[in-house]
Amino acid sequence: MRTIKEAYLRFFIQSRDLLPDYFITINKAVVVLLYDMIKKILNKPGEEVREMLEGLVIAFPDLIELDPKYNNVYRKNKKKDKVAIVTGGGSGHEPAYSGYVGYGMLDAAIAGAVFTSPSTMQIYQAMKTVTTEKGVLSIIMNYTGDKINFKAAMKLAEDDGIKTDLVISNDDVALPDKEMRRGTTITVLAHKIAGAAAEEGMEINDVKKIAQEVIDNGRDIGVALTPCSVPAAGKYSFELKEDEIEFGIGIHGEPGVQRIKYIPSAQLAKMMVDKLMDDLKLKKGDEVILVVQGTGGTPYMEKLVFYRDVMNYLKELQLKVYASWVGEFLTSIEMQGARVAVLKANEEIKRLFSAPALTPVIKTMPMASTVMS
Amino acid sequence: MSFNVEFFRCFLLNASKEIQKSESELTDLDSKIGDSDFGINISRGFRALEKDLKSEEIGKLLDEAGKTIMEEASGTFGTLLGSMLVAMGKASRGKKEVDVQEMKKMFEEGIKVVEELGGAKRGQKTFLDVLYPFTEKLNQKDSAKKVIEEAIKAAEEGMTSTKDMIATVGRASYYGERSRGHLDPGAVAMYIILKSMEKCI
Repeated sequence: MRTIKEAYLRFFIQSRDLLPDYFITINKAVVVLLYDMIKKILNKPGEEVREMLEGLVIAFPDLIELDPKYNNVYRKNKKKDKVAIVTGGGSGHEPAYSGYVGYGMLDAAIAGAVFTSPSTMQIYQAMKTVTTEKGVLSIIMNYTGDKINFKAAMKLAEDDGIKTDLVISNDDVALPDKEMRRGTTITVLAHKIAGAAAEEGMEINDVKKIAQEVIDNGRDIGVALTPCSVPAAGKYSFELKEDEIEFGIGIHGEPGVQRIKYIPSAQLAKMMVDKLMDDLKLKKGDEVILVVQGTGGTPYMEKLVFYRDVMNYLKELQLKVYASWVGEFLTSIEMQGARVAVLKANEEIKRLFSAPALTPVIKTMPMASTVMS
Repeated sequence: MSFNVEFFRCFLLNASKEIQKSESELTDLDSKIGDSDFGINISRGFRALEKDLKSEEIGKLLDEAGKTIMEEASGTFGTLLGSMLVAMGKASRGKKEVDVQEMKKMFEEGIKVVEELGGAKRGQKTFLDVLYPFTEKLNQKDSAKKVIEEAIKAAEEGMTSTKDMIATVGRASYYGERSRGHLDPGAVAMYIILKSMEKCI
């Protein structure tokens, strides 16, 4: 079946400029039909995001609530005298971001369709719902659609007299040009730390400053062993040979820096940590917060083997790990792979990172330095 | 010479009809340098707009239209067009009619928002390449009919000029050099929208 699909897709791509326009439409339908045969535990295409969020709210009815018209997840028992922290983006990165709504982190998570920006009106609705006197701070990832829609929503909110501000994370070291860098895992740490700052009652400028500090001091890198697919399209976004690893993969399956031949976990850990170290200019004795995670389809066993290897290598480099998260925090549907993120920590970042939080995924308690999801 | 609220209502209704008529044409264009959902998306946005064009005030009419488009057509074009209409509404708040200079100002405010949000400039194969020449023509001292006709002619030239451009912003930019030789779907849609003013004088 796979060969037929691939042959058909190749034919479609190569011949699209030569064929009459109506044939392209027919062709597309055939490709979609063929690719729809990827099995998924889903109901109707296009309903998966709302149904998933409904599931989350059923699981945590005391912490969060859903506005099903907009697919917005809000924190229950909102606090009136704190800066509201919101975020959003395409779905497919679960538990980001709805899993981080709650005390000490997000006030709203706005979910677009899989790998698609939420609409301006979804975001505007969220801002209107969660705003306080202190305003709304959006902490989002560096993707064109997300940026346009958040900025457009901020304009609408400002016309209503809502105070807004924006922080954009670009922590993925895969791309050399800093402006082009995509947002990844450090965004979640920014939500945790800025969320704690907001909970303490800090003003919007100070919360923004600390969020920006987290982004400036954090870096992330990912690898993929297999591609991921968008359920509605039903096809894989790229191909990887059996013995290949995509080094520097984006969270939507965007190409990385290079394709490498398969190497064991310990070597991969070393290669990835080195890339982060170089970019952050970390040195012996520096203290870091660490996130090691699978990309959605990675078995538990592999995540823990890889975590062990990352921790061992950091010890060898004499870096101090203040705390770590291991599990799944910002994924890419069913992709098999791993991401490592490192945040250089100072006293304030450490304090806010360890401050209490109560969300579906992150539940920070005193004395617990490791979170496992 | 001025344009009243009926002119804008007629303009939006006509634009909606014309965009829906062109849905498959726009989708075909988009399948060449985009991801093929453009026509369907924008047509859905305009269809939704038809039912709430009731305001008797230009600013409010445009504001509501912009917000409906943003709600229903969630792609980048919908967001930018919606934001543009909202900005135009802000520039004409409380007015029941505007003259050519005021209309020019409204479009300039709209363009400013589009530039700011989308980050595009002239010559990057976007719908701004239609809006700039259109807006520049909104200052002659001729009759309203003549001004609009001239502006639409300039918009058409702008649209045609996108064919030879290489896209450097937006999704079409992924196609790089291969985007040359195709009209920009957003530019075509913007031309269709502006052209629908013609019947409203």
